Amino acid sequence: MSVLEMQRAFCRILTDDNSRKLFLSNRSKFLTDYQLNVNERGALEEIDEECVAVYVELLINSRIDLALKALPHVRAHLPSDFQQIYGLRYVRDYPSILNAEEPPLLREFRQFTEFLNALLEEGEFSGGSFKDALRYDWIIFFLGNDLATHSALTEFDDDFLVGEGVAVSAGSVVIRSPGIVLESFEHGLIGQSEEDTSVPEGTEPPPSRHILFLKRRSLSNVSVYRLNSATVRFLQNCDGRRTVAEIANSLAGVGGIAPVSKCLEICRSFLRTGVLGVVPRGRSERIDA
Amino acid sequence: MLANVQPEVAGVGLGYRMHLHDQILSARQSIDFLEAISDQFIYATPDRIERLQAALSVYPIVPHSLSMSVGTAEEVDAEYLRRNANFVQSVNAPWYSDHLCMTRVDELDLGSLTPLWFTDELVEIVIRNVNRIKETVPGRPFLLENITYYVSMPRSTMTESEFVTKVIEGADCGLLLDVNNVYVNAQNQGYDPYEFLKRIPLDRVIQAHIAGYEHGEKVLVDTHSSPVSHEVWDLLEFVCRNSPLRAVSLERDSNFPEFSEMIEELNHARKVLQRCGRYP
Repeated sequence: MSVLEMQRAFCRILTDDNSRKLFLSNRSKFLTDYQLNVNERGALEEIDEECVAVYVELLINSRIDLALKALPHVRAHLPSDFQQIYGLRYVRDYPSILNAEEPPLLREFRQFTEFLNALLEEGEFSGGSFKDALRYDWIIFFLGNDLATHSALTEFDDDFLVGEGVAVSAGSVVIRSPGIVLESFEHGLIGQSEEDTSVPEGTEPPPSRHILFLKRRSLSNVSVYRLNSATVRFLQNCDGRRTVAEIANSLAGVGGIAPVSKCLEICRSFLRTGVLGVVPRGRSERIDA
Repeated sequence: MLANVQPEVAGVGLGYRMHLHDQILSARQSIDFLEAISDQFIYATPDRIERLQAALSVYPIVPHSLSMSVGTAEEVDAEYLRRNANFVQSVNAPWYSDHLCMTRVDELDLGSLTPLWFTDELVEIVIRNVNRIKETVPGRPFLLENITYYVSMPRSTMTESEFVTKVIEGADCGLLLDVNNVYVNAQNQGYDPYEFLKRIPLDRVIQAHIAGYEHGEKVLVDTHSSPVSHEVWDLLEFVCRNSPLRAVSLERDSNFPEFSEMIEELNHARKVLQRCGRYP
């Protein structure tokens, strides 16, 4: 069916700037690669160049706008003319190829993030804050949209004791939820109401911030918490094999939360929010660390 | 005329957007139904589906998809259709819709609603694809929406209105008439929107979309980011007086105003329906 060939040629012209340049410089030559009848060839040869340019811009903006919806912190770092400068390259280097394994929105977001990382490596954007913003937005989007994470959360809720009212003692074995990500950031990203995150030129960057991202099975949004270093160390040790007392002992003297009572207090808070679960008695030996 | 349109869905609706969830749920007296973008749910994590189910407990939901690509000269993606059919059935939709356009060719996803060549061959392709779509959700009407287009394909053998008419009648489907798209196309392509409306099968209009546009450098752009213009309100009233229109939904995708402003636009649409004796 040659109309399919016509659609292929048209899409190529719209989405690939090298092909478009070739087409606009010599339409007949470009179209020799396609099996077209006289009318199809004629239609493409006569298509208005200005209309193509308008449509190309809309296609680029549409793809980038879609990706940026999930990148609010990154968006704030991008120059206002980002789409004019980098748009053509993005759609050329990252064509939108359908993939049954990856939902379109996830694919667009992943590709755009890869593109921004490539620009970062080339030195197009400077500053750790941009890199941090990219990592931060990626984690939130991924946790919120990844089906595998959701499946793991379902298993977690089924297998472990989670939530308000779950009892925890020094002998309890606790385990981290698969819906959490712990990362450190050099630049302020969250809590703009909590503190001024701007860093005046010439001053030292603010100290590293430990951020806990939490996706719960029943909630659509990803929650974000700031932790202190001691809490991070405690959380990293909640591996589903050791008791709270054992973890507290291992952290004693590391500048951490040595007293078991303090660890239990943290456990209760994390159990309420779904960061941790308690391993039912008799199950801990089955957990593969 | 279409049979099987469930009578309980009528009135004014709002495009469901996740971040408006709580406000939408508390505005039952102002919203009659929701239109949900199927693509945002057919691949979504279960918690998002559950959130939509919460909305479904309050409102009827009409699914509206983006990626069937009825105008591509290939088979419609069977897996996409399967997922879409599951979604349509899961929300017990009175009808479902997509766009009269192409969004993909081979494995290339254009990511945008792209216009078709207005020829008899394309009419046949769309009819064949719509028939395949209808088989996946028996008993529920399927509607096609007119799109905005910024490229006019030369050597078309018919006008846009002829193309729309042949497709809608040939495929025996309903028309989701985007009134803003009619206005934007009329301005960009240089025709009279009322003449266009007189030439399409208004007797098949079940639902209408209203939205706002913006002025681009050279053309009007259908952005869903501004208030509905007075020209579009006038066109809606014309459609309402000349079709069996039963549902009007507002599309807003960016530059969101206060929620109350969107409710005001819905109230305006309701008054149009009331003036035409179409509000239950």
